[in-house]
Amino acid sequence: MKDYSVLSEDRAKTPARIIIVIYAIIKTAFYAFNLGVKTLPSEGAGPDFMHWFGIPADVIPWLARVIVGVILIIGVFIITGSEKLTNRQKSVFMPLLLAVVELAHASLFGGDRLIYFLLIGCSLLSLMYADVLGLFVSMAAISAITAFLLFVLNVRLLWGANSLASTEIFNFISLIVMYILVFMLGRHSVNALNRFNQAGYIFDTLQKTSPNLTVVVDDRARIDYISKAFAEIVGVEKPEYATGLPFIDIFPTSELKFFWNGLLQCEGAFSETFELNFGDGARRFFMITSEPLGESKVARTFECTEITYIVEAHNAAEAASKSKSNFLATMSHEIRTPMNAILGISQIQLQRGGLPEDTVTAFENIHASGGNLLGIINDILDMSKIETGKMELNPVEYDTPSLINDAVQLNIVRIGSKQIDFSVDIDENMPSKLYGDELRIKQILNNILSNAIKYTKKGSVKLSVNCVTDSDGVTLRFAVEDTGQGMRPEDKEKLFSEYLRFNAAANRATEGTGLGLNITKKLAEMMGGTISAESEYGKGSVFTVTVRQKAVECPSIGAKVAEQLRKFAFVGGRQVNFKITRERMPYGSVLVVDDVATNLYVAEGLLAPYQLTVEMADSGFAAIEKTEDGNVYDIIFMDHMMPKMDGIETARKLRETGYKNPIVALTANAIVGNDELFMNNGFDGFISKPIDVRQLNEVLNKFVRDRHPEEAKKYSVDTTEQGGRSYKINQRDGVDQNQKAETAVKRPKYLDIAMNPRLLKFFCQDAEKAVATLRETVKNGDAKLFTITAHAMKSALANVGEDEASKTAAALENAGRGGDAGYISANVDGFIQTLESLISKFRGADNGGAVGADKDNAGMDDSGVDEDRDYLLELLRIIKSACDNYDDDTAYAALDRLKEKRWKVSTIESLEKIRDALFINSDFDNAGEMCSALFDYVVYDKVGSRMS
Amino acid sequence: MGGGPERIDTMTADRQNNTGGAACKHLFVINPAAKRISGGKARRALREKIAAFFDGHPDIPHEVYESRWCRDSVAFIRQYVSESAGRVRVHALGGNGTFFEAVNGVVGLDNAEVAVYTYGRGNGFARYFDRGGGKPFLSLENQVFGRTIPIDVIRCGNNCGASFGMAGIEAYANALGNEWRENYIPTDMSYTLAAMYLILNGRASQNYRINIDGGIIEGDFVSVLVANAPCYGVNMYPAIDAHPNDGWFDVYTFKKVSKAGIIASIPIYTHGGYRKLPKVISHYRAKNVKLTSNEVMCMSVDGENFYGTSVEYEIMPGAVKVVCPDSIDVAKLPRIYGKRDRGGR
Repeated sequence: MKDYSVLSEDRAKTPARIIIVIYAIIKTAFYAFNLGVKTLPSEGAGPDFMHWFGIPADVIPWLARVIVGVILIIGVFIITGSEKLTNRQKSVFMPLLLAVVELAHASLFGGDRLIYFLLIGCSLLSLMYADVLGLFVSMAAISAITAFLLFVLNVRLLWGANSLASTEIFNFISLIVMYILVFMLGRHSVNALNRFNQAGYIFDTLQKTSPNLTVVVDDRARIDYISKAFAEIVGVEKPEYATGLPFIDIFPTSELKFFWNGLLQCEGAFSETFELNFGDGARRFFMITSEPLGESKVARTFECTEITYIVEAHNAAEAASKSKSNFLATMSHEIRTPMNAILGISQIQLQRGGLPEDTVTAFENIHASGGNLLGIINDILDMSKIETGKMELNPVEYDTPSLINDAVQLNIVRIGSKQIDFSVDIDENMPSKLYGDELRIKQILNNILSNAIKYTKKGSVKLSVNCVTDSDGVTLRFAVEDTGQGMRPEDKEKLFSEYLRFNAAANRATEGTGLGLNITKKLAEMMGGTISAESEYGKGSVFTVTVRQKAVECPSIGAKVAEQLRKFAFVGGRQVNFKITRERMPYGSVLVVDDVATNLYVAEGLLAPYQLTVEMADSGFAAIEKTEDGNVYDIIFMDHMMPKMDGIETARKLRETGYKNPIVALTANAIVGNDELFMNNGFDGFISKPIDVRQLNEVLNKFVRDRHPEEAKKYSVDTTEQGGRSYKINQRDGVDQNQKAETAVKRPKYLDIAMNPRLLKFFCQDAEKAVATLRETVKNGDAKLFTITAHAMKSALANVGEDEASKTAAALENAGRGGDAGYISANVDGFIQTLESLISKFRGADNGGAVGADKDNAGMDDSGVDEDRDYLLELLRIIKSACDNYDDDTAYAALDRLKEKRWKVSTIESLEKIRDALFINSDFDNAGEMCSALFDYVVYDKVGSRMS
Repeated sequence: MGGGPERIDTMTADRQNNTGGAACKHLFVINPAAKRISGGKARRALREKIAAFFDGHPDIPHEVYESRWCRDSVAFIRQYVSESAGRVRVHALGGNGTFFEAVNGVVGLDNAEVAVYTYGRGNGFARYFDRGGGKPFLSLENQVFGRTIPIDVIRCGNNCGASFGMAGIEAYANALGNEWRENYIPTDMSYTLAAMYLILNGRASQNYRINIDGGIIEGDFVSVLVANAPCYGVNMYPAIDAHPNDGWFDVYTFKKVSKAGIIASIPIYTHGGYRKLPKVISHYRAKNVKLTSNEVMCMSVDGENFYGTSVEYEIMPGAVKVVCPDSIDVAKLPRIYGKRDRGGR
């Protein structure tokens, strides 16, 4: 039996003392009264020794009563005042004292029947200390003493009952029964009280040490309870000082008073996070949990947990994320700028034809790697958009079979030489059209398909597509099942984490950033769907993605289309909407503003097909000068990052001068939020670099063609008559982030193939300017211009392959940013010398003619070449199919595979023509026809060979 | 007392009349706990009275708000006034507590003024203007169209008061009396009994360190009263020199004497007879009073109790404008308590 009574202070002291004093007085008064009426029994007149002192017999009982009263008062005062006794001991001693003294008095002087009630009352004193054990012990002791007196010493406690032992026995049994009843009832009450005491004690103890702020408000909005921490934070010296005060009064500022008064008005329970300033200026965040008390509309508890450190950690994480986004923006710019040149120049070189095979291979590798790199950048940028919540879905109505076919065709190519059995299972009841973000769904599908192929060396990959229609829309479900390496359970748990590649050691040779699945998951969730993975290590995996799409009134795809998709022979579904027509616009004029000559050169090439009047400006100042001369352009394409005056400032100044025609930003900073930045600074549009031909086409159509409707009409006819420059883009272009590299590949196809001399010339111009600027800035200490110049030279040098010098430029740029004058003075002269030597070197090369030489294959003897015609025919069939589907990736991949074997010169020439048709003009129809012609020729030749 | 502040017996008064409230928005704040309108019927009648009055003045905008709990109206008034473009007259329909909330609601806001009503138990502040039961303050005509005078405000910790701040037996008796009245003795007698209990129980005095405008007084005191207005309680007016618009506090310190001495002095003190007790009660005028004690002090501002070991009272001259009904002669106000009691006893 636990002694919970010790948890509380001795609160029985004063009441016990008052009770005993009142009892003693009443009892004595009762005796005094009875003395007068002489009702006391002669037997109870007291023991004989009293008479020895000559005390009159009728005074003895009264005197004895006074003495008993004094003894009781003194005894109770001593017991209750003792600091040595525990509450339990007091709960036993106090009733015992009373019982023993009263029993002794009754034994000596005789008592009335009240003595038994008194004995019961004695034990009740135990209850004042709320101790069950004390109650039990005192009852047992009183019972034992009474029994001893009655039955051992044969004492009679009642007046006139000497001969009636049965009366005493009856009274004693009644006493025991009453004790049992009192104990049973008292035990429950005492236990309940102790539980209450214990709860209070624990609550007090917890609150003393808890950092949480707790307050209980009563139904008059006054404080019932306030924790130490709460009192301290509002400046109340001690919690007890605030108890009973109006709750609102304890707050030091009006803001806090309003806030807490507002919380009092809340209905029901709540738990929310708030930012509060408790008057000390500190910014703190609290999770406030509140529960109403009973039926009252006001009384409630408030528990406030400070979560500032969590919020700060969250903010720090957000800041880090923002910092990461900024880094990505910078990285994007830094990588995309040279990427523009890398992809553009490598493609132009590949277009030239006649290059040595190893050079072609090198350029192809450069181009492919550049494409991969761009894909990675795009993945990272996607992740950045998702993290900052700026990824938006752009729903359109789309063709379901085409979407599936595109993804399938793209991924078939990825199989390459792997022994993978790729199959597709499409539900023929699927709707032929849906409404949703087609681009992002393709991205999802490509991610899970490419992963399956990537991690499966041998075996099978199966794509299953079906959907469930309900009243709210359609749930599209893709499942990709592979027999690849599978995943361990621990890898599976981390599958959708950012930047995580599972089984990294084993998959070191596998390309990828580890972002794909995370992006896929986020995209699926944005579309109201899910992604899940089932996997068994060593046996394979099944990835299932669902996305919610809106239904469109349309028929199902049907058995025929489903079958075509299963056999990879889907041909329908293309729409003219995807066809891009580059219209001639000789009536239009544009100004391109960029400080890097290479970029001007690329832009000029991209604009050439439109036959626009194109002017160039190498700085913002030059651009302003041109407009001040009265020139007005249909569009000014403005680079963002330029020295002295950047694109934004230039645009603002142009607007200030009253220039009203469109200005479109060209920037490699394709990070989220840039579009708003440009739009808010006087720009009418925004094109990211490397330049997307569709974006460029859209901008030109919008700002040039549509503003000259009469001329446009005229030249539109011309276009048709001249065969035009009709240019179809596969749906995947610009849709799938992984495919943007291929989009880039197509861009510079209109460039003058004699580029390199011009490039070198432009470099020399840039470098000469840079040398002068660097000297000037070092002299006058213009760190900003120095940094920008070094930055420009960094990319310019990289463009011409001078990597070491580019690194030096980068180091100088960093030194300029960091104000490291020592480093600059130590290295700038050497850097200038390097630039000067490069200028003289490239001037010589330029004068000497174009770099490189065509290799003429004519006249090569290929009589010994034994062509693998079956292989050729199989791949020609793939190319033809790809051309029919405007799928240049598949076509390029097949053409590349053909390079693995030796072919006759005539075959090579035909294949190169097909490649050129695709590569230079994106002329899928012509490429397809050429493919058919070669196919027929090979078949004929093959048959002819057999016949001969 | 050598280092203490100078005792003064003169008083100054600066009256400033103001325009009436015809061009104001009127916000009526009803305290349902106020003695004379605690019944639903009385409140309904009051609302009807207000509605009928404004039916006759439809061009005057008004709003009625019934406070829900202690200090609820402070936030509401402050928000209402802050969001109002023009002047707002806040009508505090209740007793001292309601007036206290109105003062805290408008203090610091230039476009607000307060009309005090005498629907409470004591209405101590209003008794400065009218000793006869505050009838002029119950007239809507007076309160809506009456002129205002600026009054000083007592800033004390997180709150502001208009009448007085106190520490010692008065505050203890107020706190204990409130408790007794709620639980045991439902009459105003509870305060008197509480005071008697405290005196007899030896808890009537405490050691204080009192800083009155920089002058330090230290010792055992029965009470320290920092008054901006003369009256408190139901019918007591100890601070007969205090005027709520003179820019000064009147500070009364009641020294520790025997229990019998306290019992004998209190009726004289609480009815403006402090000058008859020169050895017991001292009077000072000040703008800033700080109280500290080694033991916890029970304190009160306008009847609102609080506890602590230190407190600072600071005067905010003319911080709030209150309506003075037209029937009251402002020029006579400074002497309505002083005249009678100074010569009387």
